[in-house]
Amino acid sequence: MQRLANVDIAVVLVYLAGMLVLGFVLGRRQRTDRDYFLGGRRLKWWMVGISMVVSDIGALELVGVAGSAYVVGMSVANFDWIGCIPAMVLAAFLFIPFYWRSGVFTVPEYLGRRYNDGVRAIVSVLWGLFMVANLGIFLWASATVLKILLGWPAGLSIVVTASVIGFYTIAGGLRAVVFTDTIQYFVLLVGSTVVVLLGLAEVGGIDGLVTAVAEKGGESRANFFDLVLPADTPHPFSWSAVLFGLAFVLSPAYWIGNQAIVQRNLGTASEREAKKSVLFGACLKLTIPFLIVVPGILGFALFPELQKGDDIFPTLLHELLPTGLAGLVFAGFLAALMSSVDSYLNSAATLWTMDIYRRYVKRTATPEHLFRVGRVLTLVFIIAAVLLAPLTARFEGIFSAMQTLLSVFQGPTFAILLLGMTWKRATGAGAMAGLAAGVATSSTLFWIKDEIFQAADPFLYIAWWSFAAGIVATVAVSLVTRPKSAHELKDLTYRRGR
Amino acid sequence: MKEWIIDLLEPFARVCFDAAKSVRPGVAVAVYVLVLLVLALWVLTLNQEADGARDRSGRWRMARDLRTWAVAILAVQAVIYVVFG
Repeated sequence: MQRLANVDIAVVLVYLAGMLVLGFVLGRRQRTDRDYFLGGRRLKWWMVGISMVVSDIGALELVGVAGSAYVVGMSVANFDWIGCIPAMVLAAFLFIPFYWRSGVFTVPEYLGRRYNDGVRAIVSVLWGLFMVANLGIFLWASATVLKILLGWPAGLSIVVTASVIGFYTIAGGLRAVVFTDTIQYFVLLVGSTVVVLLGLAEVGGIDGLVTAVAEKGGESRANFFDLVLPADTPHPFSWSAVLFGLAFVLSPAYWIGNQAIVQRNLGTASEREAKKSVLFGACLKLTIPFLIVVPGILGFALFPELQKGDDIFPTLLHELLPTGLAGLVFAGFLAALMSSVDSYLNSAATLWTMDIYRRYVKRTATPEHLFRVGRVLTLVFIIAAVLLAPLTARFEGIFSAMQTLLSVFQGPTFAILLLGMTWKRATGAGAMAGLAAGVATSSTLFWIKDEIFQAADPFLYIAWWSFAAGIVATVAVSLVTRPKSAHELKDLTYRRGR
Repeated sequence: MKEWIIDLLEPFARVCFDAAKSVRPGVAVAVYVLVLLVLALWVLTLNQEADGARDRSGRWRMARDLRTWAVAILAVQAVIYVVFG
């Protein structure tokens, strides 16, 4: 059952071919690990800012956030507003300068210098595994849409998308990722804007939207246009969960501790450029909910009978768009998918190459050798992601699947990162204890979540409590163990006025 | 084991839930806006950022100061929460 017309498929094919050619061209001049993993440290701030945002949007957000907005409404926008903006501002002025000055390739590398190699190894393995698992989730998100639009079976969709993305990421490294992301952002922007405008026209403008939601949603959609929901809402996005779990923990953990995000900043030419890139990204983030949340809300007004929220994005494409435009918007979807997968792919390879291979397998590796290892690992990870993708079907929603994975260790990792940068007394033993206590807390809470929490899928609360456990354990153990000297901590901890 | 952990944590979870539930939506919005404003104030105290905002003649330029942009972004965000909260 083919849903896209030949014109639409031609638009998509031209787009895909362009991405492949660009990746190939950009990869030709690369020789070292610095070229491959940090784009030679010549990336433009505005491209990095766009790349950060579009990597964060991803196919996952297009499908998953639109799906959540279909069910929950406007409060999903918190993930792009209070769940991004403050953390990005904090990252720009407090954290990114540290990373940039220290010349590290990865976040675990910083933690290794600040604490010890044990912390570095644990965090890099956790992040490395998370990224590979996440790649599988991204690929599954693409399969969800392709199944509806093209009638392709999930396995075929996953293999095709993974092949295209794997090719240009292996060829071009971070530079190709950032360049293609920039193009993908504009494709995505046009595609989403078209969906919103056509949806608004169909429903009768903003007034028509509000009326339609009230008529079709009734009491179940009473808070559909509210950003801040009461604590006893049955959805996972109550005000307290969003503030404590998202704004205070998951969001800063993501923008400050996520290798896929931070790595782009490290590829800029100067510390000021790195800061500018994050702030530019924050500026773009202000507009993102209008592109990815509003389609989900419009979707409810137009198609209130869907069984699964995650089906709304492909349904909008299929039902709303005329021939030609459907291909463009579908290319936008592919752009979002590719931007996320290529980012995580490149960063997973960076983590395993620089923090595991270089540290524990071959300490004397040359930059050229590490460059080759990075390419091989990129290939290995895209294959692993293809194999892991079907596991995502076990989760109720794609977005929840990712957030669940994130909340297990993001809280404790952020706890030791925050204390490491702001508290000189934090020790390596304390950080190890913090990680252990945090992961144990989140795992236990996931085990008993149905009996303890009132909200469904309480991953935001779990992230908060695992962060709190990480802070308490790190502080307690640090106070009874010997800290590093001031000399050893030079340029690794925050000092006002610097 | 599972039952024991649940029995241990359930009263604490209940207290936390009741406390969060007692906060009215308007107050919750005010807390969100306060977080944004506090962050904006912190950004303004970063005096060293002024160094990067000077032009070739050494004069401070508001538009070149990254703090200006950060505060503007946070202000827009605060307005969004006041309107849609």
